[in-house]
Amino acid sequence: MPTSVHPGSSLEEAARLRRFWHDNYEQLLRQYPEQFVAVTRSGEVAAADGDLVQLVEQLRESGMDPQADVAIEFITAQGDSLLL
Amino acid sequence: MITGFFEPSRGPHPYVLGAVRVPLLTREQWVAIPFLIDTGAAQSCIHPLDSVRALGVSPARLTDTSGWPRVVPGGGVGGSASYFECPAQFGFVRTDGEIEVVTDVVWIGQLTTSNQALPSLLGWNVLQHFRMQLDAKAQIVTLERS
Repeated sequence: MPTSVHPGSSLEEAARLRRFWHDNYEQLLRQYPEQFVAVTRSGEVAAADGDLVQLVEQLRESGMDPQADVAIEFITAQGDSLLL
Repeated sequence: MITGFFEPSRGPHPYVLGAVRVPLLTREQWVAIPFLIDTGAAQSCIHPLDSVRALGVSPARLTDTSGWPRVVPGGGVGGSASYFECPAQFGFVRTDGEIEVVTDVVWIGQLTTSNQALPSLLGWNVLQHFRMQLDAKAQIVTLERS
């Protein structure tokens, strides 16, 4: 995910990522329902797991940094049942 | 004015994209986080998914209560958990390109099996500085400094 010394530029990259997840959500939901999915900057799925800790382990074993090398999202069909 | 959005895959629920600087974790860096606007939350919270992917905090550190300046209990209708309170700045880009900054604290959620996928919340400690318009039918989410 993006980091910056200025808030604006980190938000621009985040907006781009949001469009990516929006455009690919349905396909990812079919393939990886109820899983955390990590994608590379080229849009390829690097790892997926139902548990965030296990996903991070998978990424690290592959030599990837969960913050710098991939974007991560939880892909769910249950997004409308959120109670906080 | 700051514009947000209704996230179709989540509800739809009202979100705003914010940038956060948590000196303890990000030093001078700002990181982008999509916040669910939660008028029922007293404090703004960053939950584990965003702590890992945006702040770069390891799951091990998110589990361990030592090494944090202040541990506070948090509770909501979805259950209770511990949070780590940290000084923070919240930044939002206005439609005219200027930045609105709010300096306060943020609660970092302790990692549990049940909160891994929760969205981060923009709570009343930040929302109190803004007038809000939330209109799902018209797809309008705006915040304006009050």
